[in-house]
Amino acid sequence: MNLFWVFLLLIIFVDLSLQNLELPVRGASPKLNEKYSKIKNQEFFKCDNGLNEYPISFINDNYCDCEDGSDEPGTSACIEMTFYCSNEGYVPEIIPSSRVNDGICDCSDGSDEWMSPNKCQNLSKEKKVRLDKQMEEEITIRREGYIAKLKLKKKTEKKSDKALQKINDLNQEIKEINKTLIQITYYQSLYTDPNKVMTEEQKTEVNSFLKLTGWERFKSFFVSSSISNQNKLQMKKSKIEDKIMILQEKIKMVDPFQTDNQSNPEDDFFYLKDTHYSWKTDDKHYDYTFYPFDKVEQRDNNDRNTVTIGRWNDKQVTDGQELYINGKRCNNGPSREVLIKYKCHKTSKIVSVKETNFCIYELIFQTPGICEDIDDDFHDQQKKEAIESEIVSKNVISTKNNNSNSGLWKIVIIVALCVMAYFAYTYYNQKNDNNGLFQKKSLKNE
Amino acid sequence: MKTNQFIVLFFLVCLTCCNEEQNFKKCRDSNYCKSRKLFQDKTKESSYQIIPNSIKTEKQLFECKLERKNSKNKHGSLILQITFPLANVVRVIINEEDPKNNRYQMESLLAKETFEQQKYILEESEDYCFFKMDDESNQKESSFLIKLEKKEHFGISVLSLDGEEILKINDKSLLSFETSKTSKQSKPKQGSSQSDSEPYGGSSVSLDITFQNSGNLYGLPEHTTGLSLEDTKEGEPYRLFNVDVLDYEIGSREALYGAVPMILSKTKKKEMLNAVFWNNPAETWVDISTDRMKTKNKQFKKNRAVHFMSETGVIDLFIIVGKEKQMYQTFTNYAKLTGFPFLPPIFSLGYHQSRYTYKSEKEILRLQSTFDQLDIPFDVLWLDIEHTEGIKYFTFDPINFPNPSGLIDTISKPGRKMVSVVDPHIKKDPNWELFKDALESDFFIQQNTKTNKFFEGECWPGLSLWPDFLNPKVREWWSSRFSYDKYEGSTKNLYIWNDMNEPSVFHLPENTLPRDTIHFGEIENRNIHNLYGLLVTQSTFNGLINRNQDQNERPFILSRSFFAGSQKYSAIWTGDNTANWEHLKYTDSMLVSLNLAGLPFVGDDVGGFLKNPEAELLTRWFQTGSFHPFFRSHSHTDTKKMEPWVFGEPYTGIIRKWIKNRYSLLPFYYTQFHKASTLGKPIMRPLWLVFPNEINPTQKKYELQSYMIGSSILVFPISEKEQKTKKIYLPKGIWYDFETFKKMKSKGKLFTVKTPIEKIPVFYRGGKIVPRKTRIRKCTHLMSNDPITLFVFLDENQKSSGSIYIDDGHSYDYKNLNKFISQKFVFDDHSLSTVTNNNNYDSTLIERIVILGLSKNNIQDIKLNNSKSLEFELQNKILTIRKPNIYIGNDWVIDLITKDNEL
Repeated sequence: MNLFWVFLLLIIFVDLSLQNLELPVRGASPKLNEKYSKIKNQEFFKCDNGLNEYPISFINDNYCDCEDGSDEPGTSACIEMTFYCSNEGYVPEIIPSSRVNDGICDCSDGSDEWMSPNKCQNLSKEKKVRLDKQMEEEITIRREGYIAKLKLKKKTEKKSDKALQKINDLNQEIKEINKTLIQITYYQSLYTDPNKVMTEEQKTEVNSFLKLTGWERFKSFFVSSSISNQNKLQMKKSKIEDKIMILQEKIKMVDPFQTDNQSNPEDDFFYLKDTHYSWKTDDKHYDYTFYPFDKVEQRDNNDRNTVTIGRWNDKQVTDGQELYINGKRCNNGPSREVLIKYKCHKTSKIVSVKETNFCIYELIFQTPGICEDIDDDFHDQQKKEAIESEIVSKNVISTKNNNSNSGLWKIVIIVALCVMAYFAYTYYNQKNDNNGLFQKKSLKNE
Repeated sequence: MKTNQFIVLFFLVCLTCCNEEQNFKKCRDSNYCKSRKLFQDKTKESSYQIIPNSIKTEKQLFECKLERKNSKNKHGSLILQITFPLANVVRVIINEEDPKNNRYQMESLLAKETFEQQKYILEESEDYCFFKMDDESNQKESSFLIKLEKKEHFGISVLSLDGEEILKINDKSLLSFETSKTSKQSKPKQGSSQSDSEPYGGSSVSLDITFQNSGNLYGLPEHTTGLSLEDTKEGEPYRLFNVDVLDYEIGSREALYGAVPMILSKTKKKEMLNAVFWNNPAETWVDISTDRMKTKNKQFKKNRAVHFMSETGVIDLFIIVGKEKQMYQTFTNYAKLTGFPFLPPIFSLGYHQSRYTYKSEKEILRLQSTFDQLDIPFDVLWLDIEHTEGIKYFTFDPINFPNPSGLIDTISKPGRKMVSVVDPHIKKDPNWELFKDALESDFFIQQNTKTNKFFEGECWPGLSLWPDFLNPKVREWWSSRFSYDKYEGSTKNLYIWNDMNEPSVFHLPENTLPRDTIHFGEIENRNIHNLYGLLVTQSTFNGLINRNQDQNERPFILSRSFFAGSQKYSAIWTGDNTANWEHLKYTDSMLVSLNLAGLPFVGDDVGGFLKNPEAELLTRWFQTGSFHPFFRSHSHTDTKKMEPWVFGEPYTGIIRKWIKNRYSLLPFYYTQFHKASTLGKPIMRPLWLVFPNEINPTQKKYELQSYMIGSSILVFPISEKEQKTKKIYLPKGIWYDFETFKKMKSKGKLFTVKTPIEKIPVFYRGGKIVPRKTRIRKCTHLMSNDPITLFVFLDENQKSSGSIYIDDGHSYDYKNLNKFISQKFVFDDHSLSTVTNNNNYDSTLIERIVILGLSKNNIQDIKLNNSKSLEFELQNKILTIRKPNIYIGNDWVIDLITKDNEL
C-alpha cells in the first residue's frame, strides 16, 4: 500500500518536473504568455527564429540558449531583450532585460528584482492613485485652456471681422484710384499721340470723365503737348501710385498673413500678435524675450548685450512646435535657432528656455492657442489616454531624476499607446455590440 | 554662449597665435641647444677623462673624478658615480664636485622601495675597469659587463657576457657640463624667453648614448611623430618641456603636455629590449641619429645614437640592460625604478562622459536619463571648470549646483561616479578662505630671487597664484583640502581631474611659468619644470586616500601633464586634440608610446576636443576609443554636443554596440591592469612587442595600423573617411573575428577585410583564453556579481591559455588582506584546467565556456573533475559548455572526451 503511494507520488513528481512551465511565464507579455500556454505541455520548444529546439525546462533557466534570446523573457541572460512588468492596476512597462536582478527596482511592481523578493515595493497602487490625481489636474488645465482659447478666438474673430471690413474698404479705394490712373494714362495717350485723331465720341467721353472727377482744370495738361505740362501730369500720376502703395501697406498691417479670408492654423494664435513675453534664467544671467510672429531675443545681463536667437519663418505650428531660425551666428558656429514648444494652459507665458546644443535653444511656451477640445464625443477617450501616457512618461523621468530609478520611457509610451489602442478597440467593439461603456456606466448609476 | 566671451576671446587669440610656430621655443632659441653638435666626429680634444688615482670603491658604489682633457683648471672637475640599483640596471650619475648652482637631483620620486642595490666586483687593468655583479645568483640574473675607459677619453660600454657591445656612453664625446664659470659669456636669450632673468647663468648638461646593433627606437612621449623615433638630423630635436598647446600639430617633435625622458631600443633581429632613463625634470632636447656600418661578417649593422641635452640639473642615467627573449622584463625593471602603475578602481575602466561644460544639475540629470533611455552604459559624468563658483576650485556654483552632494548621490545610486576638475591655479580672491589660507602660509611659488613677491599670472579665473608643490607642507596642505568637510559638497563618489598642470599660465611665453620662478629650497622652476604636474597628482592622490578614515579606497585621478612616475598616481589623456581624421590616425600611436614609457592608463578625447566631428568620424573614434585603456568623450564648449546619440541612427546604435563591447571585456581589461600594476607591462602594445620575430610589425608603415590589448586582442582602427575595405597584416597564427568568431589562419600575410561603418577589424588571438561578461548592465558596479563566460581560442596546436584577476574593484583589501582571485587557465590535450595562484575573494560563477577552433568534432562527453557530465552544444565548430556552474577561483578540470579518446 505504502509502496503504491510512493510510486504514485513519484509519477506525479516526474510528471511535474517534465512540465515545469508555470504560467504566466515571468517577464513575458500577455501575448507571449498566450504562445506559452499553447506549448506548456510539450517537452520541447522552438526558438522564435525557428533555428533550435530545446527542452521546455530551458525557458527562464537563467542561461541564454536561443540566439534570438527568446528562451529568457524573465532573466538577464540574453542580451538586447526586454522584460514585461505587468504592474497590475497600473500601466504595464517594458524594460531592457539587462535591468533584471541588477539590484535596482525598475518595474513599478518591483517584479524585475525577483531574486531578492523583499528588495522592491509594489508601487503600482500608489502610482495609479498619483496618476489619477495628475490626470484630473491635467484635464482641468486643458479644459480651462480650451475655454480660454475659444474666448480669445471669438475676440480675434470679431477683431478680424472689423479688419476684414477695413481691408475691403481699402481695396475698394485702391480699385477706384487705379481706375482713374488707367483712364488718365489712356486719355493722355489719346491727346499726346499726334497720329491719332480723336473721334467726337471719344472727346465727349473724356470731357464727361473730367467733369465727373472734377479734373476739368487739368484739361489743359491733356490738350497741351508742352513738356512742362506733361511733366506735371506725370507727377500727378506718381502721386496716385504712391497713394496706392500706402493703402496696400495698410492692408498688410491689418492682415499680416494675407490669408485671403481663409481659415489658418495661425489664427489660433492671432491674439499673440504684437505681444511679447520674457523669462529669466535661474542664475539671472540671461533674459529671454519671445515676440510671437517675429523673433526671440536673448539678453546677457552681464554685458547687456542682446542677440536674436531666432526669427519667425512664416511656417505653421506643427505637432505643437515651431522653429524660429536665422538668429545671430555664433562664434565659429552656425546661426542660432530656437525651437518653440507650445503647451496648453489658460494663460500665456514662457515656461523655460534652455540651450539644448551649441547655439540651439528650446523655448517652452504655455498658451491657450494650442489647446484642443478633450471633451468631444468619441475621441474623448483616446485623447485622455494620450494625456495619461504623457504623464506616465513624465513621471518615469522625474522619478529617475529623484531616485535614479530607471525605465525606458519611450517604451512606456509605446506600451501606453498600445494599451490606449487596445482600449479604443474594445471600446469600439463594445459600442458596436451595444454593450459599451455607456451601458456599464449607466448600470453603475442605477 | 556669452558666458564665455572672455574665454572664447582668449581661445581665438590663442588659436591664432598657436598656429604661428614662433610661439614655442625652437632649439635655436635656447643657448645650450643652439650649439648642438649633431653627432659630429669625435672631438676628443674637448672630452673628459678620469683623474688618475681618484677611484674610490665601496661594495655598492663606484666613484671617481672626471676632468676635461688638457685643462689646466682643476676646479671644474666632476664626480662620476656608478651603482647597480637592480640586477640588470646600471645607474650613472655625473655631478659637479662642488655644486653651486642649486642643481636639482630628482631622487624622492624614484621608487626606492623596489630598488635592490647590487654589490659588484671590480677588475682593473691599466686601461679599463671591468664591473660585474658579485652575487652568484645575480650573476645568473644579470647578463652584462661594464667597461670603463680609464686612460683615453671617458666612456662606458655595456657588454654582453660574451663581449658583444650593447650600448656605449659618451662614444660621441658629447658629455658636457656647463658651470657658471664656463658660461660667463652667455648672452641674454632670444625671442620668447626674454623674460628669463637667468640669475645663475647657464648650467646645462648633456650626454650621448649609442645603442649598438639597434632596430627602432621608441619612447620620449608626448609627441605626435608616430611610434618609432625619427632621426633628427633634419629639423628640430625632440623636445621635452611640459606646455599647454591648444590644437597641436601632427608629426611634430615639439613639446606637449607631458614628458618621459625614456628611450627603448629594440635590438635588431633579437628579442631584446634595452632602455635608458634620463632622470632629469628640466627642459630636455633629444637628438637621434643612425650610423650604418659593416660588421666583420660583412653584414650591415645599425647603431643608433641619442643625445640628451638638459637645461640644468645633473646627469642621472639609468641603463636597463635587456635580456634576450625577456622583453617584458625591461618594462618590469623600468617600473621598479620609477614605480608600478596604480591599480585603478574598476569603475574607471567603464565609459566616461565629459564636456566643457555641463552647466547645471538639471543638465547632468538629463544626461543620465538619456543614457538610460537609450540603454547606453556609462560609469562617470564629468564636471569641467564652470561647475565652480567663479572658477574657485573646491567649490560648487550655488545657483547651477545648489545641492552637489545630492546630485552625486543620485548619480552614484547605481554605483556610478562623478569627477570634478581641480586645477592647480588658485584664484587671487582675498575673500576666499582657501586663498587666504595658502597666502598666509606662504604656500605660493615666488616670482624670482630678486623680488620677495609671489608669482601672479592669468588663467581661467583671471589673476591667479600657483601652490609650490615642491614644498612637502604644501603637498600635505593640498591633500587636506580634499577632506569632506573642507571640500564642501564632495562625497566619496566624487573623483578628481587635475587639468592645466603643466602648469598652464595664459599670456606668457610658452603659456607656462617663467623659468626663474622660485620653488621650495630656492629651486628655480627650470630645474623641476616637468615635475610640476606629477607633484600635483601625487598630492591629490594622497588627498583622495586620506579623505576616508580607513584610507582604504583607491583614488581615481586624470591628469594632463605627466613625468616618469606619473603612473603611480593618475590616468593621462592626450589633451586638447582636434576632431579631424589626422588626429584620429595618430592618437593610437601616441597612446601606445605612453604605454611603452610605463604609463598604461591612457586615453584621448573621443570625437576630438576642438571642432565638430561629422557622424562618421565620431563613430570611427568611438570604435577605437572603446579599446583605449581610458575611455572618455570630451568636447569644447564652442562645439556641437558630442554624446553618443547626437547623430541618431545608425550611428547611435553602432556606438552603443562598441561601448557595450567594452563593458563585456571588463574582466579581461581589469586583469590587464592588474598585470600592469604588478609587472609594469604595457596594456596597449605595438605588434612588434607581441610578435618580435616577424618582419612586418616592425616596419613604420604598420605602426599606425594596429595595436594589441595585452597579447590577446588585435585592433585595427579605421582612420580614413569612407574606408570600405582595409588591408590588414595578421601575424602568423590563428585569429578569430571579434564579432562573428570566424577563424582566419595567417602565415604572416596581408588580408583585405570589409570595413562598413559598423565595423572595425578586431581579432582574438588563437592561443588565448579571454574572460568576458555577457550581461551588459548600466555600469560596472551592477555587473560585479554577474557570471563569467570563458572564451577559449585555440591555436594551431590546439592549445590555449589565459588568466583572470578579480577583487572588490575599489578598495585596498587586495593588498592589505590579500583578498583577490588570481587564476590561470590552460587548455591542452582536450583538457581545460586551472592553476590557482590565489583564491581569496567571493568567487564568481562561470556560466558558459566557449571553445573555438577545435579540430575534432567528435566530442562524445564532457566531464567535470572526472565525474560529472556537462551539457554542451557543438555548432559551426564552436563548442559551448552549458552551465558548468563552477567557481572561477576554484581548481577544476574539464575533459573533452572524443571517440578517439574512448578507444
